[in-house]
Amino acid sequence: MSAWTPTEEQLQAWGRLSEDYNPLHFDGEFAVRQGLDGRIVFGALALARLAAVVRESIPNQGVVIDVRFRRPMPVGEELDVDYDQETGIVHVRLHDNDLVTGTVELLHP
Amino acid sequence: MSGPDWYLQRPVAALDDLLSDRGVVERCFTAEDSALLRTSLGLDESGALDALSVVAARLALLDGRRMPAGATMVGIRWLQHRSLQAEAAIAAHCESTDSEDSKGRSRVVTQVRLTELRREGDLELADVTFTFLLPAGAGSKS
Repeated sequence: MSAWTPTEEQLQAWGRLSEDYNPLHFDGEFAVRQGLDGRIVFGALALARLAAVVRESIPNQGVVIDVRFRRPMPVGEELDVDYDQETGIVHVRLHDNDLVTGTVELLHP
Repeated sequence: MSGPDWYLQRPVAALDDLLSDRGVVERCFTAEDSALLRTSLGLDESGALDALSVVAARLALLDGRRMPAGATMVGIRWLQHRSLQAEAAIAAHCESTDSEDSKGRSRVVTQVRLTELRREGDLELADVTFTFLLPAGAGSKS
């Protein structure tokens, strides 16, 4: 399991790379007006972070990562990002609550 | 230009836009893009660039538009055939389907097929499938 608190630099870099400047990710007041508790982390960034964790265990093999976004990931919180190689299950959690869940399948094992 | 103000000036993608055939969208990722990716993930200079597939897929999906207010991404399925170790030219082709859920929301599933364009021959790179829920009434043309 790895702890991950997305930094402002990481969020800005992802926003610039993906051309996604949705204010939900950058403007706390905007996010609250949309019914959220505050800014939220990009779902695709969380997936990419999960993939980086997976790659630590499976560096060169083709993989399928399939995730569901259960709840918004709040900016400023320490998230638990985990890949269980035995079960193939991945998740992003906050205080034991699943925010993102999914599976990893190896191609041509 | 960049940032939320710039983003909010971009046209909103309607359901018809997401379902339309946009043909093949090509994108060349540069060393700067690779650096941005590694920064966003906290990787060192040797970090794998596989996630450029997800970025390329999302850019092709929206084709310069932004998601409508209230749209929710509920899932991504990412099949990466090969590791990507250097910045690349990537071609993307989208196919979308939609259905209506019990609350009148459109459930849009878009599969993006990605190919790495190489001088010595194109290679299958990845398939990225996005599932979104769009609010009721998001079907009108942009």
